[in-house]
Amino acid sequence: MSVFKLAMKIIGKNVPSLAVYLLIFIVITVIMVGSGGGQDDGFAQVKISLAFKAQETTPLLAGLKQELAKIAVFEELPAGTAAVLDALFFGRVSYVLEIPAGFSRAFMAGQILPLKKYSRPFERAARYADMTVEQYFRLAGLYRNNLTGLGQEELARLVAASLDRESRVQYQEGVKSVRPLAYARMYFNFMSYSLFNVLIFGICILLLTFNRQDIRLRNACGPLSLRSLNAQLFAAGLLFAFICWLLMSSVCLLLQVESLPVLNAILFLVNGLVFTAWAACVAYFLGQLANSRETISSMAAGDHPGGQFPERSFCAPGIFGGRTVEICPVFAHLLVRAGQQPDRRNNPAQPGRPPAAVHGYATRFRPGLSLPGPGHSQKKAPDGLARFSGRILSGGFKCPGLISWPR
Amino acid sequence: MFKHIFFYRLRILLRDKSLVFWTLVFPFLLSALFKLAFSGFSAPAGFRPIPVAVVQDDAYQADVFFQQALKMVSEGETRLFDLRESPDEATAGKWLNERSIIGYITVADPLNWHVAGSGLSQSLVKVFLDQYSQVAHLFETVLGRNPAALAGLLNQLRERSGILESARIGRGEQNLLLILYYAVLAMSCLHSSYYGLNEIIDVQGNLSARAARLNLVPAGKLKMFLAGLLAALCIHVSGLLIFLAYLRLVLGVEFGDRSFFIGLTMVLGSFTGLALGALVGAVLRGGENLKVAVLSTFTLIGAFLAGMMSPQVKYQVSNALPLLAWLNPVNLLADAFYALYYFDDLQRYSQNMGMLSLLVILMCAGVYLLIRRRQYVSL
Repeated sequence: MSVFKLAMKIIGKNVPSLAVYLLIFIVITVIMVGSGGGQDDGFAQVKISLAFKAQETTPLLAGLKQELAKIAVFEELPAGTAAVLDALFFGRVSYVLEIPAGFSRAFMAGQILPLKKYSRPFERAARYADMTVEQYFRLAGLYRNNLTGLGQEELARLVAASLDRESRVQYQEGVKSVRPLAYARMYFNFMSYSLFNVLIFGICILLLTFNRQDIRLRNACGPLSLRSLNAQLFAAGLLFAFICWLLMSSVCLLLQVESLPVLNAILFLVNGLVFTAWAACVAYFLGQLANSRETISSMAAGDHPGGQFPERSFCAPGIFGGRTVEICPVFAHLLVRAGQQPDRRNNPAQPGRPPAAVHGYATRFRPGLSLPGPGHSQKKAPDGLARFSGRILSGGFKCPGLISWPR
Repeated sequence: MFKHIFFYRLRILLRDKSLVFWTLVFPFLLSALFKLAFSGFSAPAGFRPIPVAVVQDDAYQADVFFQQALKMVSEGETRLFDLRESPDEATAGKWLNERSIIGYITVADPLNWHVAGSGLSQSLVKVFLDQYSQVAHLFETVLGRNPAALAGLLNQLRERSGILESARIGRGEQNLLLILYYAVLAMSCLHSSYYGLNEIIDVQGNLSARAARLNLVPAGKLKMFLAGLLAALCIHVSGLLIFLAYLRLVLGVEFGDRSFFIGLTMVLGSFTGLALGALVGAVLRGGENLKVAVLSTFTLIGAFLAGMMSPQVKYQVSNALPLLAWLNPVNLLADAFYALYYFDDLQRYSQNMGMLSLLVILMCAGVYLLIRRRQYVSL
């Protein structure tokens, strides 16, 4: 097992650079998922972000603001329509309410001076705020029309008294929370990206070392058979992949050990393990194409569109289009798709797609690094694909994923 | 002579495959990946009713007003609820456990709202139920003071208040993903900086062999430089126009209907890139790799701040660090595209273009001062 031991040593020497991927993945995923809120332990009224822009201050409007404070967090926006439009476009506020000067006096006189609202159409948050504002003025209007001699203070007091009446919320303790499942699904989805990267880097670096011409020639002279050498290398790669899977999966289990149902946990783990074995094979194949560390980076960057997590990319796989998932079934989406199944089993009403929220992403982009200057005629080393095809044509390639002796 | 140099520069630039790839081909690939990656993310087509249930027990059957209120908000295309009627509480509880509803209502005083979690939908239903109790309280209060008001109250309750008026928000649909494409287009405009750098390298005798040869010919350096810049501008703007057509027609990215201004923005953006590349080439003393690295870093960081990685970054930078936003040409270009698409007037667009023009003038002046009448001791 000398090759196996040597392979593990090579991987061991690269542990610091690989650990960066693992650490970034674990820390950011935990922060991201943790920021989504804790366990469901009761009912709490949701508050939306709302900008309240009143051009007058009256008791009636003070009552309205007090009522809106139950359902909204107030955001201060700079003056001007452009600032309002920007805030709505970029999602800083869900609702903007503009109250013109003279509104309260007109309202007390029975006239309607419309309030201007800015909101995204069809948004539930807008409907939420609409209902609250309309209810406030509906009650105020009814009091004003049917009780004579009311001033603004008295009217606001009566409306507030009515608005204090609330329905009773009964929280069902027995119902299973979907949060642990959603958490696990998100965790395992993102794990696929990071795991794939770590495997590509680890296994490619291993093969890069063994594929060096001088080492291959030396190995060819050794007593070890080609079959044994390849088997030991492959075993080392698989062991490395298994350790990575174990490390990453155990973090999720540690965080969710009590709340995640056992069956779901097993399914997630099995999905992850199958994916890991498959990813290790792909990484082994890619290792045959790599001719430098830079090539490994490029291959890792190109393994799936738009989803490189440690490479500064970070987007929820669920927002990938159906076509993407269809044409990339051989990439990390295998795990993503599989990862949704356990959740659906327990939660038939829950759509398979994760929340439609872009977490932000970046793309790997380094144009300058390969931009030769004028008159730059240095002979370039062939890239991975060219080298691969060249080896096929020259007959020096036996089987993808296996080391072959040079001719 | 100008024409002669211009056509030769065209040929030289078009033969530089690496340059052509990164400035003209790469944006196509990048935007295609964006489209591929985010095709599943789209704005909701309409308000989705909330699935709730009501338990049809004796109390519910007795409360005709509540039945009518529920019916009103559960019918029609703009309905608030997808209402299911449950014969008993156990069935409703089972539906809740299966998550086919988000909660169920039982009639009591006050109304009971049974939920299994918190969320906007649950809160919205609670607000509706609160309102029913609140109106009941209003009736009690008003009729206590003015018993004759009953008929008036019932009539007035049916009237719509009409107190809210929806303001028009922007010319186009609110789609955050557009910011990504605008940032990519802006970054592509700034990629002309590699051409600008090339021009400087090919005109400064101490930077390349070709420039050393050119400095020996009896032609003005400025003339050669301008011919080269014009050739680069022609190539890059042509590429950008094709890229724009690709974004609009193939990927379906919305840019609004102000085509002339979009074209103008791209030309100015391309020229800004040329000036930036030329300035970096003229100012920095290091080798070509260093200059390329500086340009790449500048463009990439600029694109990040302009929202290419996350649209919210653009908004946060514009609010927290407005000076940085104003000095970032990628952001100015992306914001110009955004303003053309979203705003009714051209004020914001004009501000962006004005600032960009100022930056171009300053960069051109810097380049002119740095490269004019430069002489070499030996070449």
